[in-house]
Amino acid sequence: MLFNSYIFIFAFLPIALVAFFAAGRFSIRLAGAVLVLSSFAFYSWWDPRFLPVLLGSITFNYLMSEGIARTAKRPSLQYWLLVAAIAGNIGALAYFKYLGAIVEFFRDNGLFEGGIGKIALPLGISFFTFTQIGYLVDVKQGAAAERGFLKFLLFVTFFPHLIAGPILHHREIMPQFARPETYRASSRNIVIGLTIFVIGMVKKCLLADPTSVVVAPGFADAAQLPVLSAWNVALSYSLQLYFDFSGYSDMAIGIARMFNVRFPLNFNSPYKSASVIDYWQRWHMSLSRYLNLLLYNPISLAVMRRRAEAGLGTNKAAYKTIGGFSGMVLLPTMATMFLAGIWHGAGLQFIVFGLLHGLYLTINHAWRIFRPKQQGQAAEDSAPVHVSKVLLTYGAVLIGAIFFRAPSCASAMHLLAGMIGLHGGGANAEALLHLAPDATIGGGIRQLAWIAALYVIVWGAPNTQQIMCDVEPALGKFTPPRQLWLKWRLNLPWAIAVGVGAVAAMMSIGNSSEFLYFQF
Amino acid sequence: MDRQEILLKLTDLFREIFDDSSIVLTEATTAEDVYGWDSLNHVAIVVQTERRFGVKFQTSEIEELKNVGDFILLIEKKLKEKAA
Repeated sequence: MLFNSYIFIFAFLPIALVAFFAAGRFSIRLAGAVLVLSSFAFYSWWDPRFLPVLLGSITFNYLMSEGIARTAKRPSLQYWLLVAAIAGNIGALAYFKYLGAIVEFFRDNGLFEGGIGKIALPLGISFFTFTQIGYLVDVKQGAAAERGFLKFLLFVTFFPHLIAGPILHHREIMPQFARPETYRASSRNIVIGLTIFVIGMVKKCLLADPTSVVVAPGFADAAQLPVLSAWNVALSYSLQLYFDFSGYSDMAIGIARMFNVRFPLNFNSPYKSASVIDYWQRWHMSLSRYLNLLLYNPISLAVMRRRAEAGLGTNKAAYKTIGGFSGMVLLPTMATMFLAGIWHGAGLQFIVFGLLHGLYLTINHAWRIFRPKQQGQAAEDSAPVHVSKVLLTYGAVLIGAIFFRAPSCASAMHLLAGMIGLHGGGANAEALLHLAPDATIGGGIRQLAWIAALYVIVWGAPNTQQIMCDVEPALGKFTPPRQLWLKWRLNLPWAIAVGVGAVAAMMSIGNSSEFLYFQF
Repeated sequence: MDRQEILLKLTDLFREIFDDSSIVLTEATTAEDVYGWDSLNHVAIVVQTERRFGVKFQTSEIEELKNVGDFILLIEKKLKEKAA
């Protein structure tokens, strides 16, 4: 069931909370078991056929992790167990996610006859697979205390993060489940959690969903769009994606908080970034952190250790050589982003998305390395310089997002061609007609105003954790909002504001679509 | 080697990697305080530290560090493990 559905808000969530805290009065283990069962119910609600996949994955990974934990004294056996376990996970992911696309590719190119039936993608498989691979590596490195089957079940299935993250580290969550206070209802945490949940729901139902109206028809018709319409589709999608996924993440963080658990941050106003390196520290942060830990750092460490052993430098001067730059910057960055692209899906457009971002990051690093040295510490950018950096970064991210969303590379190229005017269309009244979902001039003007308003929020408003900064909304660092009146407090005006937001968001639930990240 | 000595050695190492002799580290220094301390330079710092102190880190250890003080603690721990 969706977080933004009546059944979740009015039935599942209250029942799960009451059951958890009621069980917590008797025993922590019982409460843990109740939470695991609730999570299974939550997962099965979509499609009970997938429950065995989830259970199979968990059982496999638990057994392998115990094997890894118990072979610490035999490093080479332990290493191969880890390799086998990761291969098992990737194999399962490849079967469900990529096999269909690969078979289709071979058939379309005449290399293969016949076909296989459509393989349904189990919900959240990319997320729970990644979570568990991270756990296996932690166990191998001795970084996972608090093991045990029930604890493992709790870690993997805890329903706020099960379907679409944030991708958790065992060591940041399990200590929280080890504390007795977690099992006692806290009205304070429920109020805080509900507030964060409502902010997320407002983002999803009132900002993302209405913006999505033009996106699907736009991408379906990308070859025809005149310039303004093409921009409308691209910008609408970029805004939808941000409000949808950051709204989802806020809701997950809020629900976890009602259970007295703090999640890591997933978004930190990414569109305010002044460089692509900065962007990846602020967009889908739990995935960036994960890729950094399991791909970028190991690749980069291996390259640098080898260079250091060979007596080659690993400092700024060494980055400036061709070998140094390609080994220490280009290779780890491109490899990581290529795999990040593939993780999102099987199409060629996801590979382009990954490679584009790899290229952006490489250029960004090259700029830092090769530009003339500045005197002393970098001063703050002047306002015009900062604004141009933000716009340049956003433009680069926007091109990536078009490939990310498009059904194919051809469709993405069509949309980009439309945006630079290759499909004609100036700024006349007819262009305005194209903008509006209802094809009226007034509708076109409303659409322009709507998009402008969303950018005011994206670039001008504080984010959820800034608004909630006084109550430690998540794990990580956050700063107070510049507009101090936007800081949440436990008082009547805020209660009214959150209540109005909740009602308004709930009234539009009927029009809600699924979350974009459920397809991954 | 005490914490102060480790801090001094790290300061030298940072100055070399960032090619900036004005860097002054304290235990409270974070990545945000040193211009250019990104994912790339983080790995360079780790590898150079491994060589100069004769220790080896795991990826999960170097990810959790919040500030230079945390890093010094980790180095101390590794040096003790090596001595034992």
